[in-house]
Amino acid sequence: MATIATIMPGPRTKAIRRRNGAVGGRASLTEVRFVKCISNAKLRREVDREKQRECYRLLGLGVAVFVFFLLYGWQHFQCVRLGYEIQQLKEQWSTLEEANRQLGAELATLADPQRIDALAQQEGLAAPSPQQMIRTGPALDPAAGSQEFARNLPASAPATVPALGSVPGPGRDSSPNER
Amino acid sequence: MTPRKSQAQTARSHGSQVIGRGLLLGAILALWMVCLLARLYYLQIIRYVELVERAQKQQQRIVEVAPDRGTISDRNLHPLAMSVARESIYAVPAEIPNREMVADLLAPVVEVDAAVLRERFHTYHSFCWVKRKASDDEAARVRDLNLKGVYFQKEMKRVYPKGELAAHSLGYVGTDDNGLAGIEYSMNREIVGRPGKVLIAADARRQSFLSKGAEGVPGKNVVLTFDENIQYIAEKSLAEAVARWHAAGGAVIVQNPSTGEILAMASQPVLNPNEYTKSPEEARVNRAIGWVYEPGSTFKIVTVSAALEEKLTTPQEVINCQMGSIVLANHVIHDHKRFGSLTVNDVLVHSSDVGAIKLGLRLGQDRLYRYMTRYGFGEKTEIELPGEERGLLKPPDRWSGISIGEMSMGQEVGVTALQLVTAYSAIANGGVLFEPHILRDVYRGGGHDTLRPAEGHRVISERTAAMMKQMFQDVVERGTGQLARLAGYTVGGKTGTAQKIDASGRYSHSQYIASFVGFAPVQHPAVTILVVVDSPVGAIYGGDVAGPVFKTTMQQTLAYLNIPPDNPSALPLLASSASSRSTHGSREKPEEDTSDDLPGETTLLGVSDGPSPPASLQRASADESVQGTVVVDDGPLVTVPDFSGQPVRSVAKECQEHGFELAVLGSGLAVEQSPAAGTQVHAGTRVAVRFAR
Repeated sequence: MATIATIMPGPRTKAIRRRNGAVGGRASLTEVRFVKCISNAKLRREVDREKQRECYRLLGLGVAVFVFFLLYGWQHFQCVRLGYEIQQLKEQWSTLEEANRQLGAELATLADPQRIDALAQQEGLAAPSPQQMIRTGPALDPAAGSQEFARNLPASAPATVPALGSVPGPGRDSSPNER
Repeated sequence: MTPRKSQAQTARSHGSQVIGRGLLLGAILALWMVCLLARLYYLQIIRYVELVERAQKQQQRIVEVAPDRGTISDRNLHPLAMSVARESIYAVPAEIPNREMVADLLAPVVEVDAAVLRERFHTYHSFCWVKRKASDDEAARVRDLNLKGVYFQKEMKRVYPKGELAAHSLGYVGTDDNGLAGIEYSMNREIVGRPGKVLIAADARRQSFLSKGAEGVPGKNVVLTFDENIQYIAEKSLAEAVARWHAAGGAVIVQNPSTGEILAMASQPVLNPNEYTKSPEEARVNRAIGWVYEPGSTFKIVTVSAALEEKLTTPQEVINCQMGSIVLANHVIHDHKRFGSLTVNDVLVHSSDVGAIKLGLRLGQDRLYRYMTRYGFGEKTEIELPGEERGLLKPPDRWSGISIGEMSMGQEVGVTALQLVTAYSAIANGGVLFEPHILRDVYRGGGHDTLRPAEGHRVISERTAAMMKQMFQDVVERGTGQLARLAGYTVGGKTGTAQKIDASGRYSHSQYIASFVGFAPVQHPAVTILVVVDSPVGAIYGGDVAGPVFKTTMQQTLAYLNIPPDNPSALPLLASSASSRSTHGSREKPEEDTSDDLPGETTLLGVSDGPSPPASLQRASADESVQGTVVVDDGPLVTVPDFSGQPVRSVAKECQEHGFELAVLGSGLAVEQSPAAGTQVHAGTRVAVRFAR
């Protein structure tokens, strides 16, 4: 650091002189100004480690909070966007399901035996009589045919016929007095 | 003042100005903050509840999800009743600016009287229906009107795609989707499902972005034992007979005698369940179960089989029919014909009332009554349908002296068609009476309900049943039921002609109930069919009126079920006999006089001279032999593969390879199939596979 003292004879000095003279008419004072050139370039700041850590901590916390809110906001908007998408898909699903149902109803209506019979009659078709039908498939004996039909039954149907007098049905064998 | 002083003053004054302005700004900001806080307090604290409610009203709406009523289908899973979504239109009258104008605009579109709408708008404040389950066209037109305060809600509407098919058994539902009749009523609790409530949040543009809540539980699906094709055959035959004979109504039941399953149940007059309110009251009665009638000669099944079972007689025993009359408790009961001596077999073949009465007398009151109850008469069959009648059967202590005679020949007793067909099925299957039922399956997703097992109890021995079957075959071969003879199949059955009771409480001489019950093929019956026609005009006999209906229904049903003919020799015989009858133009009566199945008290000369069947019937019989030939190539038998655990795609591919028609139920992997794996079927058979996750 250097300090320089100078006497400045400039207009300002003159003005001061004039002012001082005007005050008492006595000898004027010389104003001396020191110009001090200060250079902080070579100054070395002392590092406050504690403060620095605190600063980093605060910065980290700030970033974390910022990221948290950023993620939260992103997630929230994603949720809203996905909510719209889900709702749209749900509506689409519902619409398709309904369309499927409508088509099922239409199919069932078109497959109505009465309608098909009427269409066949319009075309001049008629049910063939047994005399007119010749079956070329493998011949089954009558018992087998009947049993095949009977076999196509719910599992609840009894498999065997009960013996005479056994397994009376509920309420079927009640005495006259019970009526 | 020196310039320096002035400068300082200026600076001071400037500083105070800045401070003053800052203070002012601060004050304004503070005031603004105070105002904001005050407003916030007002909105958030004072008006909080009200505003939250308003916001929720605007942003959220709770939508009631209508329960999805289960489907009712036939045994081949062809849907007979199903639900489809329809728009219901409702209004919030408080939101409607001009109610009169809106009512006037809506009225012609929804076809509701404007005055009715106006009244609704004035009576209700926050909600009223404009039209429920409107058609697509109506909903679209109302939407185009873009009226404020008028909204739409989806509701399920029950539809019956097959129209009148099986309508009496299916029943119908009311506006609120509750079953009112038929299986819709009896299974309502299972079918109806549970409604859901969904909260939907929407933005200012009414676009929803969130929905939560209970979606509701769909109803269970019901599979009936019916076959829609057999049902159609039965309904068509019955409708033709009712129209031909100008009858008041009738019923046809087709039953599997081996199990008691009902394959078809037709009733006339018909009912359209899609518009049941337009049907007359009498059309809503299911005559197969809800109509009690005196069965007449068809009831002789009880008397004859009981006498045989108790070993009181044999088919060959000769009974003196006393030339057609018998005195019982000082009443003379006349037979319809003056029979002398007849075997028990011929008592049934010729339907002799005196013969039946004599057998009844041998049995005695108690035994006869016991057999009636064992056959199920006088009690409900407990079929899964509402409105079933139990019939009329008095206990012996209330019988009069003549009752045993009347009951032996089918009078003084009331039965339902279902009771009678079930009794005949017991004969057909060898003597076991199975409870009739129409439920085959009740399911939701992959879960099945446990159904009440079809219980059976033996009524008569197999030996007695075999004798009865032979006698019934004779009835058709050479007795009163010849018009029920089938081409290619042996048939057993019995005709019945009963007088109705008129308004005066006496037996009518003009109104009769004609019926026929039978089964085929005789040795291994596949189906039992009952036909009953109420008050036919122009013919009255069961053989004439109900016999041809039975024949048509049975013939087509056996062909449809692919039951192989057991009597091929009957084909040319029938053709030639039909031609012969047609050539001679004689009355197509199987016997010289088919009035033999009339009850004794109604033996009238006029009755036996009924008109012959229409010429079209005769022509139809004759024409059968002259038309072309149809070659039915059933193809080779194919074994149904095991689909279990396979996905839909794989099952579909395999079915295609085997030539099966696939019916897919559900999604996921195959868990169940019908017919079962390993069954030999023809190509083209419908295979139903149920998939579940």
